[in-house]
Amino acid sequence: MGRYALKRILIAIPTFFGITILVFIISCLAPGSPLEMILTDPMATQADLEALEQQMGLDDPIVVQYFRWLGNLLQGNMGYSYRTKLPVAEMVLERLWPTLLLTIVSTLIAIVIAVPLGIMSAYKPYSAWDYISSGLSFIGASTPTFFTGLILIYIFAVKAGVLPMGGMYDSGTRSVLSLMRHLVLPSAVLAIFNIGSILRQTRGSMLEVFQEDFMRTARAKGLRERSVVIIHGLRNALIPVVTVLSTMIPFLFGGAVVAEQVFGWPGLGNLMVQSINARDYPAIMGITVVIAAAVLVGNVIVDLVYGLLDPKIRESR
Amino acid sequence: MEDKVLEVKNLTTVFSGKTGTVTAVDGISFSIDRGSCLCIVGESGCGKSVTALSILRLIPRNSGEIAGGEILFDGKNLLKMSPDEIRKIRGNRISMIFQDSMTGLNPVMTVGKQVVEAIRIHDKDITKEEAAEKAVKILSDVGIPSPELRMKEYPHQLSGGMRQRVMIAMALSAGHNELLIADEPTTALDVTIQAQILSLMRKLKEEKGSSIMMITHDMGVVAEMADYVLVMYAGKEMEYADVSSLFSNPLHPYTDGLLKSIPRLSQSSDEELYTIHGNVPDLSHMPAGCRFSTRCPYAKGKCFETEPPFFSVEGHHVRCWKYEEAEK
Repeated sequence: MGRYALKRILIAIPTFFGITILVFIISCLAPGSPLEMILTDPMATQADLEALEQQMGLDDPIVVQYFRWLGNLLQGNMGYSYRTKLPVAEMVLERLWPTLLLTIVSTLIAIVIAVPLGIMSAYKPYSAWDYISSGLSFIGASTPTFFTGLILIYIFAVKAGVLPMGGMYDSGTRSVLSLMRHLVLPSAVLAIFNIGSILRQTRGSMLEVFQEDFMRTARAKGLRERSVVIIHGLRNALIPVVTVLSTMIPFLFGGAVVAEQVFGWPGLGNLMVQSINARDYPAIMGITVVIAAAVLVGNVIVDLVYGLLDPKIRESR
Repeated sequence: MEDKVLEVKNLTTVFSGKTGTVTAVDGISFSIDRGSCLCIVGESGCGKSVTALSILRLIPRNSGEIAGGEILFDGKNLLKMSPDEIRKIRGNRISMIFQDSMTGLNPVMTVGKQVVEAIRIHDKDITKEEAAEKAVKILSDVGIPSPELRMKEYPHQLSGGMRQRVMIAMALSAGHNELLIADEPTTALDVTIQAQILSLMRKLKEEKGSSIMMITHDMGVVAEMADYVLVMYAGKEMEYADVSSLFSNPLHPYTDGLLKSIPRLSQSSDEELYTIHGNVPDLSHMPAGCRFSTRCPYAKGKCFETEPPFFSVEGHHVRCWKYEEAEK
């Protein structure tokens, strides 16, 4: 396992550099020069522009510019935002943890709900229970998050008034309790969206596992039905479920963007939208790199979980 | 010996699929004397494995069910037991060795864990360490070299023969093996290991007084192991007799055919091997009379109309109209 884990982590490093190259090239190709964004003075002359270009190093070859940017990035310097004039690294870090909190909590909620429901569906396939859970999960997965979000806000914040409409804390407090109350609705929205695919995958792979001969062997040993399902069935069934989770990771961040907008959650997604509207390239690049790195870390974690679940993967790669 | 460890009466097991209901085992009855070995023989698809699975109630819940009959183990009906009662018998008083070792072991659990699990389910007082020691001992008993190392390995790291032996080890690990059901335990193994396993099972029978129900289509294994033989065909028992008289004097035309189709060394190589013509009838379209009538060289009028009952002739029980007169 140690060797396998090390390999997975080492492979992530070149991937990260690949990402930085892509982000840099895309931002170079994007329309609009940063100079125009900075030099808004209508009286500026061509000479002023050129002086600024040279001062900012924008006349250097693109490779030189990339390595300068990369060098700064690795030292934690992502440049300054055109929009707020603050260091991008600071802005991004401040917003990173609310987004991570939201995605991780909502994913955990989705797993905790979807996996047991999926097992129950597979245990009695084509039963009323199976149809109900499949139907509800389809509805959840096919409703856009902003819509679910608005409905939940209407029900729980406007009508019942039990939960806050948005934000991360009540004003004037930073208490965990307040944070948790604010977390409920946005994470519920994201969880509802993701339950469907996890549930279907769990049901499908569990159904397959129930057909396996080793399940019969386990029963023939005299194991309790619950132990047969959980000890022998679940671990085998989880392998494809983890695959689905790994493909979901990038979309989790994408989904978070929408949910953050609806709930005014001060996360990366929110910052991303503001930065794009302002053509704030340093910020956009910083956010993209950080999200890509988070996806990368997520994938490494998924790979490690794979290794834990499946001994064959541990040794073959 | 009159003491019966297992009595199966009128067992009927049906499977329902998209094309309708199929009766895989159609009201069969047999019994196993304590300390003896019964071999069930027959072609593929004749209901041997379903019979074995029915005894431990391991028929897959969503597709099949036991539609009727009684299975008396030690005088108690297994079919009437609560799930918890039958669970305490499984792997403890009745163990089962399955046919397919390739898929019969959990791929994500070490071999050692799986054997230890089998030991600890029915022995609550044993510590993990003691169970591990016992597991190593059993693995070496079934002929697995360096069992301590194998304990830490996963099924895919073992060869097919090794895996089959692990399956056998799990079945043998149970405390009181009163009955061992073995579903083609040696089909996947080469002959030397096959001989090893068979002698291990014989030892179990002799030393512990366990009874064995063995399913096979290998007449060599039957000759080696059986005290009694039950010949099954298309979900019904055709002939039941002790092993020596079955081999020397097969009464049912089907049994006769089975025995004739064994290749013999003395046979010259240009002589064609005997085969029973035709195929096992489709379980959903059974012939009206005797099930074997479509392939039987002796079949006539009555055979195609009415199913024969069991006739007791010369110590055999045989389901064939040929012996209607002989019984009287």
